Amino acid sequence: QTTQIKIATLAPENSQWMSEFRAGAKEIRERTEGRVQLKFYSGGVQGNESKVLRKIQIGQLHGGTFAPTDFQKRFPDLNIYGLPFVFKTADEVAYVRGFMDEKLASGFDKLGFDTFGFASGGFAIVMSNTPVSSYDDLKGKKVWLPEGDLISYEAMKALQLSPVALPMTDVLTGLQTGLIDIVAIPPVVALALQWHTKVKFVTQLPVLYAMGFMAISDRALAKLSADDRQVVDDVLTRIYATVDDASAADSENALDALLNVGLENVEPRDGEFEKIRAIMRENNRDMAERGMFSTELLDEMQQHLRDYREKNGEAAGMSSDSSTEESGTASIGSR
Amino acid sequence: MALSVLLVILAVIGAPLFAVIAGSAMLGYYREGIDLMAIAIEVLGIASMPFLSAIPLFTFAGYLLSESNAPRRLVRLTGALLGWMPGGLALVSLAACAFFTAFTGASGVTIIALGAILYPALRQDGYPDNFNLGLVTTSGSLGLLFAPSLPLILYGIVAEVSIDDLFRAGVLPGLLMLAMLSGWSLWVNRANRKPLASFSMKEVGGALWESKWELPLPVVVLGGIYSGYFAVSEAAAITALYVLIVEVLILREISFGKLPEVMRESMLLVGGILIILGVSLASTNYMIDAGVPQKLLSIVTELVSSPASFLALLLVFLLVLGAILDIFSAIVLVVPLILPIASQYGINEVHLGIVFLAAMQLGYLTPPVGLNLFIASYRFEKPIMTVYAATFPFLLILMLSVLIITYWSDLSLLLL
Amino acid sequence: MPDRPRALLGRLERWGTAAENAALVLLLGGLMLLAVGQIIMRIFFSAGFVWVDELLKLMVLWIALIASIAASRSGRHLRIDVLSHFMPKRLARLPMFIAEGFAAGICGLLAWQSFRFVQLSHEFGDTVLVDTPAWVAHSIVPIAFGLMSYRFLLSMLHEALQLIRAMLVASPQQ
Ligand code: NA
Ligand code: NA
Repeated sequence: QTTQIKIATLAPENSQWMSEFRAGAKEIRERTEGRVQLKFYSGGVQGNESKVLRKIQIGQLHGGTFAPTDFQKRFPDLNIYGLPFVFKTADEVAYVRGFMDEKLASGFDKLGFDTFGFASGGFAIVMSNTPVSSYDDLKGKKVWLPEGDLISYEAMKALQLSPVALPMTDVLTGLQTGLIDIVAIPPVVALALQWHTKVKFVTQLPVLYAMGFMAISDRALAKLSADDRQVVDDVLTRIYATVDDASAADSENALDALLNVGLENVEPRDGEFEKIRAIMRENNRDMAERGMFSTELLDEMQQHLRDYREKNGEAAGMSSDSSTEESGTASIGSR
Repeated sequence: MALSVLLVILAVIGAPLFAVIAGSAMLGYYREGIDLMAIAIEVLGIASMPFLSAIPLFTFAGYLLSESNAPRRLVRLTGALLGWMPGGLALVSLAACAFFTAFTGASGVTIIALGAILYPALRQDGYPDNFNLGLVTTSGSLGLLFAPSLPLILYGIVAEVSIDDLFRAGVLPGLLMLAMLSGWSLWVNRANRKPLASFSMKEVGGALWESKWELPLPVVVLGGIYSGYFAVSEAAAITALYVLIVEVLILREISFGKLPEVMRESMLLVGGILIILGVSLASTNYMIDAGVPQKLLSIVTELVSSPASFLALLLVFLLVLGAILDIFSAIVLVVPLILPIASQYGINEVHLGIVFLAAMQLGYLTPPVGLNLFIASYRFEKPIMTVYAATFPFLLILMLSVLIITYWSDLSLLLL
Repeated sequence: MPDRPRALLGRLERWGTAAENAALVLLLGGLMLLAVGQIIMRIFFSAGFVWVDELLKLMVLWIALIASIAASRSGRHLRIDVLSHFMPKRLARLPMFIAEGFAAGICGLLAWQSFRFVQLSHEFGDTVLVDTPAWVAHSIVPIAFGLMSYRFLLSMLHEALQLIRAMLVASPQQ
């Protein structure tokens, strides 16, 4: 008796992700003596994420790989690490995630999904066709907005930028034709999707923290015996942990690769982006208060972040998020 | 198997194609144990396809143009520009039709709108009747490879290939077809080489002035897209609104009362195409689930080994396909299946698109099912067999051009 | 046929066509204006609305389905149209009867399956356009297939009547 678990992913067939998944599927098949078979659909052949979620609803598929924004409507709190301009370094995120990952993962229970940990995709950084070293360099330029990403939309609105909403699949053309000038994307993703071939400049500004995860419907997993389910859980959790551990190095390598193929590195001007950070702090708070995600969770994340920064001897003022004095005076409109 | 054969029979006896495709998709789902609701998800997928709004908008613009006096103005303008050459009117016909088809989406509108003007004019100018019939019938789908033709856009959407790349790639192959047909026309009428009229700056000026409202259109469409000001779908919206304002408000060639009818007529074609697209998403989805592309690939790799022989096989396949299927259905049904195979042979997907469309263009002229043949037979009240015969030499010329386009990939890729 | 039902059918037909036309005019006009408005907003005011793209796409879906209903009314769906061109009209009746009946059945099945899906997404509370219930936007799918099924059923009955009439006319001559 074989149970097939069908999982859709946007990862291309010949990607690192797919070879990990295939190896995992093989291990699961062997350890369950053929009772559990993971079948992967790579390269987005099952459609975009919202289509995949619908197919999981009717049982045509059983799982998929996702980003937090795919669950924006059902599980808005999941976007908490991905709020713009919150974290500055990978170490900061790692510290905070150590406290909060479990709480976030448990949120999937009531959605009827099982997850196996989060894998970092690194920071989305700025890639552009005109050099971006200050806030003024962003103004009036056409900035890519991932289609349906409400949080980034609110952020761009607060910064008075001009968003152009496009699905991932159309960004390459958009860059080529000048429909968009600026994107923010992790180097790893830019390389995989070849976007680096259509931009000239890269600004190493940590815009937001990106991560991905796999979700499989409980209904599908409930068909397995407890032991088999444990095997699936072990293997997939291990894969995600391995990728997560390697992500910092992967990001570094991807960035080197980008600079090696001739993208020009642009230094962010001193202090310039602290203003943006301040506006974003206010905006993030504002979004939470409007109910877009939980205020408590935001408070908790920022408390951990403050702790980390104090421990590591950063100036408290720089990272203080409750400092209304700083955020209150910063307003793009008054510039 | 028996049920699949039944579906083919139903298609041949004239069941709507979308129903046949939906039937086969649901049959597939049923066999795989997938809930039939899945087909609703795929049909809803129409609402997640980028650039799709370009299709209703460009189609509407094309229908508006053909209902106005734009076709007459276009013939006058090309006549003024090209009519001085020997065999002038034949060249005028080819150029005007190619230009018009690009805008009206190769839906047969060209034959109705331009053929009605050109066919009698050609006869009056002393060209043999069979030649005229063949020329007008063939011209109905000429220009398919020029932006912003509907099949180009549809291929871009279905294959997820950059539509601007396709627009660029179609230029030289389209010109090649035009040049070869022009050469043939001149050769056939070498005895009748009188020009339409001598070149007159005044006539050119008059014709230009008369077309002043339509002249900016190519600039809006192509300039807008290439400058990066608009995406294809945005260029379509601007084109449609512009044509609407010009023909209805400024030139008043189409009355407000007639507008709903033009909208409906144009949307009948769009509805027919998009519903097939919707159910084809489901049948493709089922075929991917059942691993059909892989099986197809292993069959093909057993048959042929080199890219050149793959292309030959592809051409034969497309000729057969084009004999029975219209271009729109062929794109949405077949492209998702041959795309992965072609990529295994290292065929550029933009070049593949041009080859696909060029070969399917022949389908407009091949029996038993050829849209242009039917429309010409109906419009000019000629028996269908007469139209077949008259069109045959043109079909051969086009086949030759398709061979060149297929094996000379630089022709497509040079302008990318 | 008694006059009353025929008159009623005739009136339904006229209303149906008018409703289709009105919907197509509104949707196509809206699509044009909204898309052009978005370009103007972007180029001249550096602004835009995040829901416009999704709305445009939903409008294309509605256009596609309503135009499909219209195409089934006018017999304009794409077909492999060999018979009507090569067979005498009378001989083509029986295959046409079968083809229309098949289309009616498939559309009925499509209507039923998409109704089930819309119901499910209602239960799940899916949303589109930020916070509009998805079932509102998606309900056009079962409605359209339902109406198309009705159209094909009518034209199947029409073919049947013509077939019977042709046979009645033919038999006394023998
Ligand atoms: Na797509
Ligand atoms: Na044909």
